[in-house]
Amino acid sequence: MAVFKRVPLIFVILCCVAFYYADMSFPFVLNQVITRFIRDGVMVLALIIPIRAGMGVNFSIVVGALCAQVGLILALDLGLGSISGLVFMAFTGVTLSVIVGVIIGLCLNRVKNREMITTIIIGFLATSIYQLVFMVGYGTVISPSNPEIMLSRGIGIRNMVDLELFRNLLDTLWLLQVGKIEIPVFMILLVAAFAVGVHYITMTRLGKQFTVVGQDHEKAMTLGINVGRVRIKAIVISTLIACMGHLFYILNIGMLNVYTAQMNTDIFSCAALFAGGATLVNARVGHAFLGILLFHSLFILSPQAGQNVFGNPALGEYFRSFVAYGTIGLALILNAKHRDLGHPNFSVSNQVIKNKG
Amino acid sequence: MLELKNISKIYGGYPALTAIDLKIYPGQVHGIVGVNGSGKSTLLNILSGQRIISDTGGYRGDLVLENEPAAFADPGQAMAAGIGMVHQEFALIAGLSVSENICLSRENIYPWSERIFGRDLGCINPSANRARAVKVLGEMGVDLDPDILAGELGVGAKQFVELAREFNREGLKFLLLDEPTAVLGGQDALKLITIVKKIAARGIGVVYVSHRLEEVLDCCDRITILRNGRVVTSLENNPSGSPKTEHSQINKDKICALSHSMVGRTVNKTQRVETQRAPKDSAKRPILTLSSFSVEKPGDCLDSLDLDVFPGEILGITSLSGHGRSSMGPGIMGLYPVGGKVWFNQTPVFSFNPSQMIQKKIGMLTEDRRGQGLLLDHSLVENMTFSAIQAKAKFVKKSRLPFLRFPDTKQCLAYANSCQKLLNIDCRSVFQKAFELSGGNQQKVCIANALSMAPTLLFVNDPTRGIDVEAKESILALLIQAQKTHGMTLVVSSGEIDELKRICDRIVVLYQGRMVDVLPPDMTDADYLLACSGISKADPGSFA
Repeated sequence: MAVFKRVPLIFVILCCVAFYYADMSFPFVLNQVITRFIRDGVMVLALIIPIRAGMGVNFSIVVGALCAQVGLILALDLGLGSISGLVFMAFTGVTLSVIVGVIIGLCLNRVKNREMITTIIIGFLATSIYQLVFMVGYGTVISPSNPEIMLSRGIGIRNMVDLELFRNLLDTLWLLQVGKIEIPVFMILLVAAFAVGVHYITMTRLGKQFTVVGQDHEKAMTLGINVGRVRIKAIVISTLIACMGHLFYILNIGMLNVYTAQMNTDIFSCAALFAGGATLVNARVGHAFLGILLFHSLFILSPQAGQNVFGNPALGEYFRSFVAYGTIGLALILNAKHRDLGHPNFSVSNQVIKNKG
Repeated sequence: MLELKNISKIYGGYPALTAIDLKIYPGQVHGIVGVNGSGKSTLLNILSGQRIISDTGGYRGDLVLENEPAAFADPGQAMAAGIGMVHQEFALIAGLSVSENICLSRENIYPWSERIFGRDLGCINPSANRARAVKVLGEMGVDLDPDILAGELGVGAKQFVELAREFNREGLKFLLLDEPTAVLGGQDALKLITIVKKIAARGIGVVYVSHRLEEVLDCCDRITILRNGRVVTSLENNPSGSPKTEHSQINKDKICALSHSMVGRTVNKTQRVETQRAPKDSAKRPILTLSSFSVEKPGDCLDSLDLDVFPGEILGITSLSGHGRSSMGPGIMGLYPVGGKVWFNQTPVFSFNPSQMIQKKIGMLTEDRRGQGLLLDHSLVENMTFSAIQAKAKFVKKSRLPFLRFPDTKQCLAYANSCQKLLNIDCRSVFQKAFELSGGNQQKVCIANALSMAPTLLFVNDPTRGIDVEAKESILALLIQAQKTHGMTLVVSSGEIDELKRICDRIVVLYQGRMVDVLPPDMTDADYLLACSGISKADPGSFA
């Protein structure tokens, strides 16, 4: 396990270096990190349970995000605003995400041990279906009731939809000002509540079933656990949390980029989780929080640092992608290596050859 | 009472169990003995609702549990009905601690959380679980740290944890034990038997399946003998008050009687004629010499074996499963770590790896045909010639560029066709995919592949495992033929003593990884069963 603690360490060092060169004020960075924390925090939590259930990273949290967007667009279309709109979109999103969660779970039960690549493709597929519906379906098959969200040609939703009705509904609730630092207490508590929820689940009987299935699903089956059902539950919970997480994300930004808002949510959440020290077989809430902190600090600092050192802000942008994919790649490779080393034959062979050979 | 009425089970056209009637009473230990393939495991699988039964077409007959008809489609249902099972291969979760494993799916949860969120979302109370695990282990008299991870335990300790998990269950009515002592040493086995008796004393019916007759006599109130899927007899037994290490004469007589009924009459089919057997020439120099040779194959270790293998002989190796019979070949081929010294053709062997061994003309037929022996998705031609092309550059076209040499399809095809005729492989064509063949024909393809490398020494592991009766005979005949025509030396390991006796010149019997005896093939089956239980012919009355 010592191997994995290196990843957060690398991030701490990178953050320090970037902070040194970025020349940004600490309160500014902290404000940004807090904003990102409430934006992305819940999304990262969505990944924890599938990992514990042995299904790897659930890249299909994108689908959960799409559910949230569908709920949001429907609310806008019906002209619902403020709290009633919020309740409506949350309800629609959650209902949808439970349904698609079950479907994804059923799919994944057919592809045991190849879950990750499958979830990536499911994410792509769902995105294209979503685009088809809202780009072509709206205005042709589905008649919109709110023309403002439509493109001028009458078919398809606009690229960018303004969320005037919901702006600052949650973000400014219980806003605390400490010096230059703004703390949106309500949102932080909300994210914390999700964290507590996820952590609670890991401590329950269901959570134990996730662990057992994650460790060895054949043995779990002989022990009388309904493996397929447990795995579906894991994916449903994950999709549901992802849906809520994306809702907070969009509301925080205040604009909905209809066709691209869901992009990269999976990759960045995954990278953040790994940055916090999670692995493909073990993830905890602590990993998620530490990861968000480190990963997003680096995210905020690296463009400016790139600008200051090399005179090129684009470098920082590239560096972001490099960091995101690099973290995931590193975690995956380290994980594979760890599994090999953990193989009983392997460890035995080294010892015996040393002793007897 | 658990009652089996007229239970029959057919696997792939061959009956595994035929009309089994059994009654298992609460508070009794019911021993079930039988040789390999007599249907013991199938019986347990039916009782515990394992998936493999329903996946292969279910069974016929009725199960009656306390006067209610019962049928279990999956293990969960059997558990709910109060039937627990201790598996031969451990169903412990390596990453959980001992106490978590013991309390698995029966965890203590905080009552407040159950009231709010329901049972599945109830918060687990780890300290209560730990206390319960400590209590259960204490009752069993097993000294184990409940916080240690199950994966870090030795095999013996794992067996006790597994037993503790079932022991811990409330509502347990019947407990099925599948060869619980197979992995245990003498002392631990005695301890386990004591625990089994304790469990029975609580009014739980125990089904105790074992090869070890002396243990069965020590702990069972009733013994049922299975042979070829039928109940031969069912007899009362009065277990001695405390398990004994010493074998009294009465016990030994009983063991002999039991082993005779287990074996029954045997019909010899493929039998080597005496003249075919290799001449016992002591002046001959051994082809393979092992000196305190050990193999660390997980679950099947071989411990300091001293043995000479002479050219042209067929040497059998037998033991109960898990006692080391299958590890010699893989060890020499370098698939598992080994210790000790090995000479091949009087030259010492220092490093063990498969490609070197193939160069030295040593081959192996694995028992795991589908997993290791065959390229299932490839044609028979490829399967028969693959190793020769890769390791020996046989069936390869001549080329000026040493790194660019193509397989000679004509030669390959000719070889495959000749093998198909010679070995009588039943297939549509040699281009058929290997996975479509039956077990026996797959084994023949493996043999063809091994023969293509023209080995002088061939290790054969469980050649007839999972093969129907007819095909078994032809496989055995093939092995004899290979030995005769190619002058090959064969080392055949198998649990089927009867088959070994028919083809081998001498048979090594192992017990707990150590050699008990080298027996000639004309000894009786009872002698072999005794040797397999660790009682040497040369030194009766003592354990190896």
